[in-house]
Amino acid sequence: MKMIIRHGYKVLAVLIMLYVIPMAWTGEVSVQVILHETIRNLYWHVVMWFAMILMFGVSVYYSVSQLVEPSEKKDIYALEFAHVGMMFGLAGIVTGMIWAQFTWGAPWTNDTKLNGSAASLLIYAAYFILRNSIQDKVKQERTAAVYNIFAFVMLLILVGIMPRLKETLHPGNGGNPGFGDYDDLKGSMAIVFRPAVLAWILIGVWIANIRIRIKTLQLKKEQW
Amino acid sequence: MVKPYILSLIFCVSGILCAGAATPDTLADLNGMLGGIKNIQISKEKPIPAGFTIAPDGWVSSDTSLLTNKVYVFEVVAQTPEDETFNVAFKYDNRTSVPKVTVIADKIEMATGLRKDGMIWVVVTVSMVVFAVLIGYLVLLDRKVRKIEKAA
Repeated sequence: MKMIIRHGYKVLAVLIMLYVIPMAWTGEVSVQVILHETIRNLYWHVVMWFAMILMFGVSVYYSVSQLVEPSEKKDIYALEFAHVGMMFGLAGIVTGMIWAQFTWGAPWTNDTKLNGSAASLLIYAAYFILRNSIQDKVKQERTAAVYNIFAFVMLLILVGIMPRLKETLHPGNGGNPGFGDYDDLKGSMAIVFRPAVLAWILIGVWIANIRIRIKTLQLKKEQW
Repeated sequence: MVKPYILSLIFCVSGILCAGAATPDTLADLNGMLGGIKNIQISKEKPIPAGFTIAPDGWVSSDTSLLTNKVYVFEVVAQTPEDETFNVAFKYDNRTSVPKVTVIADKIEMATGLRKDGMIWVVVTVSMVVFAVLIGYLVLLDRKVRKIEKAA
C-alpha cells in the first residue's frame, strides 16, 4: 500500500503521457485560420501554464500554513514547489515565444498577458533572491512565506485578471473566444488536453518531491 | 494535374466584379470556385449580415432592398469533398453606383497529407524517446536520493 502511494502517481503520469504524446501529434484537431497545425501547441504550451499555477498554488498553501504554524518542513515544501513552478513558467514563456513567432509574427508583442507573465516570473525570481539574502533562519522562513503570498496574488492579477480587462491576443481573454470555442470537433481536443494537464502536474509533483528530499538531506547535513 | 481552382485560389485573390448588374441577386458561386463543397461554416467573429444568404451548395445571394450605402464584410469556412478547408472572405461594397463584390479564398493548410504517409509516427517515436529519457533520468534521481536517505 505504501508502495502504491509512493510510486502510483508517477506511474499514472507516465501512462497518461504515453496516451497524450501520440494523440497530441495525430489526434483530430480543429482547422483554424492562422493557427493551422500549430493548434497542437495547446497540448504543450498551455499545459505548462496550468501546471505552473498549480505548483505556485501548492507553494503558497505551505507558505500560509507556515505562517499559521511555523515548521521547517513547510518552508522547504513552499520553496521547492515554487522552484518547479518557475521551471514550468520558463518553459511556458519559451514555447509561447516560438508559437507567437509563427502565428502573431513576432516572439514578443506588447500583449498584456505576455508582459504580465514575464512580470510575475520576475516577482517569483525575487522570492528566491529574498530568501537567500536573509541569514537568520526564522526571519528567512517568515519573510519568504509572506512574500510568497504577495507573489501568488500578483500572479493571479497579472496573468488571470489583467488580460481579461485589457486588449490581448490570447484566446479566452479580452473578449476573444476561448480555446473551448475552437474545439468544434465536440471535445476531441479536450480529451487530450485535460489528461495532459494532469500528467504534467503529476510530473511536477514528482520533481518537487525529489527536490524536497535533497533539500531535507542537505539541511540534515548542515545541522550535524 | 493541378486543378484549376487551386491555381486560382491558393493564397490568391479572385475578385468577381458584377459589372453592369445594378441590383445583383447572386453574388458568387463558391461551389464553382472551390470545385465542390461538402460543408459551410459561418464565422463567429464575422457573421453573415442581414440581407445576405448562403445556400448549402455555395451560392451566395443578397436581397438588395435590405442593403444600404455601406460596406459589408463576412467570412465562412468551406470544406471541399477532398477535405481541404478554405477560409472565404466576402466584401460587398454598396457605396458605388455599381456594387462591388470581392471574394478571397485562402486555403487553410493542414498536415493531413503528412499523416496519411504515416511519417508523423517518426515524430511520435522521437518525442516518446525524449520523454522516456526524461522519465528515466527522474527515476534514477529518485533512486539515488532514496539511497542517501537510507544511509543517513
